[in-house]
Amino acid sequence: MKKAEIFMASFWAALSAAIILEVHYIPYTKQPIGWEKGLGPQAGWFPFWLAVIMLICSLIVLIPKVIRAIKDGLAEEKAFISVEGFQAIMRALIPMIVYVVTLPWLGFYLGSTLYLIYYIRAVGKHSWTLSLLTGSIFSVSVFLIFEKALKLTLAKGFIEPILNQFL
Amino acid sequence: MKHLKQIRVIAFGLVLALCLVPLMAQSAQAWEPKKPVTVVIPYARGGADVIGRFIQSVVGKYDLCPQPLVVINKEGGSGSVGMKYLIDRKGDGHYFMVSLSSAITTPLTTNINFSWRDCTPLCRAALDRHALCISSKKYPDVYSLDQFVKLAKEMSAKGTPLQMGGTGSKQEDEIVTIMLEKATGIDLRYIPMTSGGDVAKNLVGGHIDATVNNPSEFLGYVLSGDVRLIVAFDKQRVPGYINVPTMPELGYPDATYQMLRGLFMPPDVDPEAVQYMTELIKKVIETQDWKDFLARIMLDGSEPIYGAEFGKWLEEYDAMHAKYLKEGGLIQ
Amino acid sequence: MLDILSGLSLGIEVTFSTSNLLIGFLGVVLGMLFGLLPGLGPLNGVAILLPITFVLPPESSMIFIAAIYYAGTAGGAITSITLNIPGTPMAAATCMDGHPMAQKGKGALAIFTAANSSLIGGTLACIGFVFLAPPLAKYALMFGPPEFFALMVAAFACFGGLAGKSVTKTIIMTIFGLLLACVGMDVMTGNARLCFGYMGLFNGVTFLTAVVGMFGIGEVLTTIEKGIKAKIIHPKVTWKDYVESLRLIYKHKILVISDTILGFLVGVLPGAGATPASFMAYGFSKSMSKDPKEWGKGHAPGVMATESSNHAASTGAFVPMVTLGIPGSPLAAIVLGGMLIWGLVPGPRLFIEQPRFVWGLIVAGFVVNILAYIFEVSLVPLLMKVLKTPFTVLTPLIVIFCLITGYVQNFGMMEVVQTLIFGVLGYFCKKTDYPVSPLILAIVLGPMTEWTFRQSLLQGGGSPMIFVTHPISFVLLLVSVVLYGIPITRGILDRRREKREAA
Repeated sequence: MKKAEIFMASFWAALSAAIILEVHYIPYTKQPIGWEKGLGPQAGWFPFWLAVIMLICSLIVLIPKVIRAIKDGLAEEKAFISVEGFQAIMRALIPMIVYVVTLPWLGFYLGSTLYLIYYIRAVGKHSWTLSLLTGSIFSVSVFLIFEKALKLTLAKGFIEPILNQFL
Repeated sequence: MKHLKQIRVIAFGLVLALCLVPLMAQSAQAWEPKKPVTVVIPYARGGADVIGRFIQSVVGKYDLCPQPLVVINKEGGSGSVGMKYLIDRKGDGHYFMVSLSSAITTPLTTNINFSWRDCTPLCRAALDRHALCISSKKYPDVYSLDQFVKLAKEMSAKGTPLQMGGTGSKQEDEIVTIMLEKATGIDLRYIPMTSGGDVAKNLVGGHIDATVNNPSEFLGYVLSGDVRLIVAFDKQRVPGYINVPTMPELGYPDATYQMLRGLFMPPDVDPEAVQYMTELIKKVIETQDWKDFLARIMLDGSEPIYGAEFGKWLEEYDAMHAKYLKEGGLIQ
Repeated sequence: MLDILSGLSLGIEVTFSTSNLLIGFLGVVLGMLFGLLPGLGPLNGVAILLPITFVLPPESSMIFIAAIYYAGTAGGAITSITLNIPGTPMAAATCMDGHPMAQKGKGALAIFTAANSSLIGGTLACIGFVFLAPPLAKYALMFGPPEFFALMVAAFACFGGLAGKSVTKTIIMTIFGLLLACVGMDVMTGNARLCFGYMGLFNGVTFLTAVVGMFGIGEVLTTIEKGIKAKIIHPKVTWKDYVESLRLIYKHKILVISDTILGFLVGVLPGAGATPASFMAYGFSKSMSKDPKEWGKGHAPGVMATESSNHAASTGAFVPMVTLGIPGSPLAAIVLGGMLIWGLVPGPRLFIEQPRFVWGLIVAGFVVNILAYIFEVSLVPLLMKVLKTPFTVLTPLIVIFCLITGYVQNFGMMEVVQTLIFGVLGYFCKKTDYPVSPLILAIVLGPMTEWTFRQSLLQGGGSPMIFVTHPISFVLLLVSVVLYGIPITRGILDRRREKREAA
C-alpha cells in the first residue's frame, strides 16, 4: 500500500501544482488572482488559493510517507493489489478503454454490441448464445428507445447511414 | 463517308445526352435531408431551448419535413461549446443552431478562435426587446427615467452605486447597462448573475435595485406591482407595455437594443441544403402556431430575414456590440 | 382556511377527471422510464415531452409534467440502489447507503425504504405547500447572495461529519471537487478557467459524469478486483421486506420528519435545488445520529434521509415557481417557458387568476406521488430479478450505462472520456481511503458557493462585513460553526473515553 499511497499523494500534489501554473504562470491561460479593492476577488483568486491549500495538504500526506519509506524501505507489508485482482481489472479495463477510444468510429450501437459479446463470452465464460443475444438485444432496444421513441441521437459511427434507414 | 461521320457524331451526342439526362435530373432534383435534422441548442434545457423545441413540434405537427427533427442541448461556455459543435459539422446540411446574441458576444469577449462568421447565417427568426426594470417595493417613487437618473446620481455620490443585476458577464444585459450608463451619464454597478431566474429572484426580493431584461420575463411581476418598467430600449413601444416610453422618445435615439433569436447552419454547406432549410423555416414562420407562440413570449417576429441579408445585418449587429464593449472597457 | 378548502375542492375536481387521471398515470409510467434510462432523468423527460403538452389544456399539461417529475425522481433512486448509477443528480446521495444495502442482499428493503420515505417526504411537503405557500414565498425571497453563501457554508458544515478516516484526505477531496467546479467559463467574468487552453473543457465538468464515473465505474472496478468473493446473494422478495421498511421508518420517524422539513426548506429557496438538499440532509442526520460509523455501509436511515429530503425539496421547488413565478430550478425554468406557451402569465398573481391550474397542480402532487409510489413498489420483484443477473453479464451493461449517461449530458465524446477517467480515479480513491462523497458534494455546491461569495462582495463593495450585517447569513454562519463543532467535540470525547477505558 505504501507505493500506492505515495503515488496518490504525489498525484494530488502534481495536479495542484499544475493548476497553480495554469492559473498564475502560463501566459495563455493566466487569470488575475488578486482581490480588487471595492469589488472582491478576481477570476483566478478562488482556484489559485484552493490549489495552494490542496498542494499543502497533499504534501502533509506525502512527506511523512516518503520519510518512512526512506527509513524502512519500500517493502510492502500488504500488496496494493493481488496478481489475480490486477489481471481481472485489466481484462475489464482495457476493453473499456478500447470501447471509449473507438467510440467515434464504431458508435454506441456497434461498439456496445461488440463489447458485450466480448465481455460475456471471454471474461464471463458464458455461452456464445447468451453473449450474442445480450449484445444484440441491448443495442436494438437502446436504439428503439433513444433514437426512435425519444429522438435523442447517440453517436452512431460509420454505420450511421445504415441505421438512419430505420428511423 | 462524311455522312457516317456525322451520324456517328450525332449518335455520340445522343448517347452523351441520354447519359446526362439522369445526371441533370439528379442535380435538378432539390436537396432533401437523408437523415434526421439536428437542432443544436447551445444552452441548457429550459429557457432558450423552447424556440428550438417549438420549431421541432411545428415541423412534426404539419409534417413539413420528410425526416424528423431532433433537438440536442450543447451547453457551456456561454454558447461557444454549441457553436464549436456546429462548426465541426462542416458541410453537413442536416444541422442548424438556434442561438441568442451570445453567438456575437462570446467570440468578441473571449479568446476562442471561431465566431458566427464561421457558420452559415440562415435566418433571423425573431428579436427580443430589452427594458429597464426597477424594484418598485424598494423605490416606490421612481416612475420615469429622469427620476431613475437622479436616484442613480445620488447613490453614486454616496459611494454605493445602484446595483444592476443581469445574466452573465459581457453579454447583452451588461451591454445594455453600459448603453444606459453612456447615454445618461450615470454610474451603475453591474452584478453578474447565473440565469434569468437568479435575476428575477434577487430583483423581486429587493437584493438588487434594477435590471435590464426581456420584458416578457417580468410580465407577472409588473402586473403584481413588484417590478416597474421604466423605459424600453427599442424604437417602438413594446406591445403589452404600451405606456412605457422608449429611449428614442426620451431623446436617446441610439440607445436601442434588440436581442437576436437567430438560426445558423454549419460552414460550407451545399447551397441547396441552405435553400431547403430556408424554405422549411419559412413554412414554420408562416404558421399561425408560430405567430401565437411569439406573441405569447413577447418576441418581435415581424421581420424575419434570411441568408445573405441576415449575414449583412449580423455585421452591423456585431459592430454595435464591439462599440459598446469597447466603451465599457470590457474588451480592448 | 376557507379559501384553502375551496381551493382543495377545486383541485380535486380538476385532478379527478378521467382524462387527467389517465394523463397522470401515463406521466408516471414515462417518468419512471426516464428515471431508469441512463443519464436522462426527469429533467430531460420534461424537456423532451414538453412540446406534446402544447395541445393539452394547461392543468392537464401540468399534471403530466408533475407526474413525469415525481416518478422520474423516484426512478432515479432505483438505479442508485441497484446499480450504483444515479439516474438523476438528486438521487446521487442515495448511492451512499442504498447500494451497499443492495450489496448486502437487502436491495428490496432499500427500494421499499426509499419508496416509503419519498412518499412521506413528498406528501408532507405537499401539505406544507397547501398551508404555508404565502409565508414560504416571503421566506424564499429573503435569500440574496450573502444568505445563499452562508447556506452553502452550512451545507458543507453538515458534511463535516462525513469526513473519512483522515481529515487531510477529506480536505484534499473537497478542494479537488471545488476546483472541478471552477473548470469552464466563469460566470462572473466570462473568462475560461482551468481549461489548460483546451476547448473541450469549456463547458466544465458535468456533475453526473463525475458521480457516475466515481460511483458506477469505480464500484465496478472494485468489485471485479474482489472477484468471485463479491458474489451477492439476493433472497426472494417477500412482504416481510416491505413491513420491515415501514418498521424501520417508524423507528427513525424523527429523522424522516426532520429531513423532510430540512429538504422542503432548502427546496423552497430558488436556485438551491434537491441535490444539495439531499446531501445536506444526509450529512446532518449522520452527524446527529448515535452511530455515525454505520452510515455509508448500507444503513437504512441513510436512504431515508436522502429520499425523504429530495422528494420534499422537489415539491418545495414548486413553491417559488407557482407563488412567485421564479424559475428556482432547471425544471421550473422549463415549466415557466411552457406556461407562457400554454397562455398563462407566471408571476405572483397566478394563484388568484388561475386557481384551476394552481390547485390542480397541488392536488395532482398528492395523487401523482401515490401513483408513482404504487408503480415503484410493484416494480420491486422485477428489479430484484435484474440483480440476479450474473455479475459478468451485469458488469458490461453497467459500464455501457455509465458511458451513455456521460454522453447524454452534453452529447459529446468529452463527457464519455471524463466518465471513464473519473471511474479509474474513483477506483484509486477507494483503494487508498480518499473519501469520494465530499468530492461529489463539492462539485454540487462549488459553483454556487463561489458565485454567491463573489456577488456578495461585489454588492458589499469588497467588504466581507456583508455576511455579518445580514441577519440570516449571520445566523446561518453561526449554525455552521456549531455544526463543524459537533464532530470535532465528539471526536475529542470519544478519544477521552477510550483513554479512560484504556486506563
